[in-house]
Amino acid sequence: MPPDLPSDFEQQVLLAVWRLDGDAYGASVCDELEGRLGRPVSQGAVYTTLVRLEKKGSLRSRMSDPTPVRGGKAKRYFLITEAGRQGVQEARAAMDRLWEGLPDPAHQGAEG
Amino acid sequence: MLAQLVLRLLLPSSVQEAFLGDLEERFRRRALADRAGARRFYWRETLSPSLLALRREVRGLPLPPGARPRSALGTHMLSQLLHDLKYALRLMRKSPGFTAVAVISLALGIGPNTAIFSLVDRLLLTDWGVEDPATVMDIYSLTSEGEYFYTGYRVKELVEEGAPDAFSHVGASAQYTGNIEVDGESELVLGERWR
Repeated sequence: MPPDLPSDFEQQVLLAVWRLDGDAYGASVCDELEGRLGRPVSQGAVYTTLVRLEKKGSLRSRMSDPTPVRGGKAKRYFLITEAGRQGVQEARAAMDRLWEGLPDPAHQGAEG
Repeated sequence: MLAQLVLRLLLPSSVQEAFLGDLEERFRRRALADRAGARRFYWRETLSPSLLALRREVRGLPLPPGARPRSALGTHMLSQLLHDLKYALRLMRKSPGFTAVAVISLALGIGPNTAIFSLVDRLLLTDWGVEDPATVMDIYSLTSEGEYFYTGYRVKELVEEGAPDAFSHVGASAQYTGNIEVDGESELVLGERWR
């Protein structure tokens, strides 16, 4: 896999931000990932990935106004950029190429 | 909350406010169903090794638009203290011989000093509550073989009745052990009584 393609977890985070479409911030991205992957994700890991993707130019962020529900703390909203969308689509295409034309397991010799 | 203080120390300023807000939001939602589980969740996130990766990732990143730079004096002093502590630990690790001599000197200096002061304090500095400690007498019982034996409370009464002028005050003390049970949990305690 070329180095500019996003890693597995980066792809998952990019897809979550893309799907949330303007409402993507730390907590909502964690919820989206946990809901769709069916396993807990560490907020620290999600933030590390969000920051890395922003440095790469796949995401951009802005701070909201403080909200009383969160003890007066502002949200940091993330948006996917065109480069981010392109990266995740290229990663999918690369996986599709690997899946394409795999032999049918029913016609393969049994092993073990 | 202690966990929040740890996070404030660990998290870089550019992500701190948003990260704490997100964690608080998720904590509150969980606490509605299970408060103890929510606390465990908060600590798990606080102690997650991924926060160290986040610190590395954020290094040198400019603040996002709309972010308020952190400028509180207390926070600055805490981070400076943390910085100084890390520097001291690095220096100590670089010269283990000097560190060992310093630690042993301090241990040998502080240990005996404390022991000697405790003894002097009890013997010379503490007020015993009596004008002349030399006049304090200890009354006890002996068996026919001349060994120490338990003295009954009646002995105190007999001394008070039989020789009322011999002592200005007569007291009796007793030690005992017992079980105290609270909410189904019992604990062995050592007690002392004085009359």
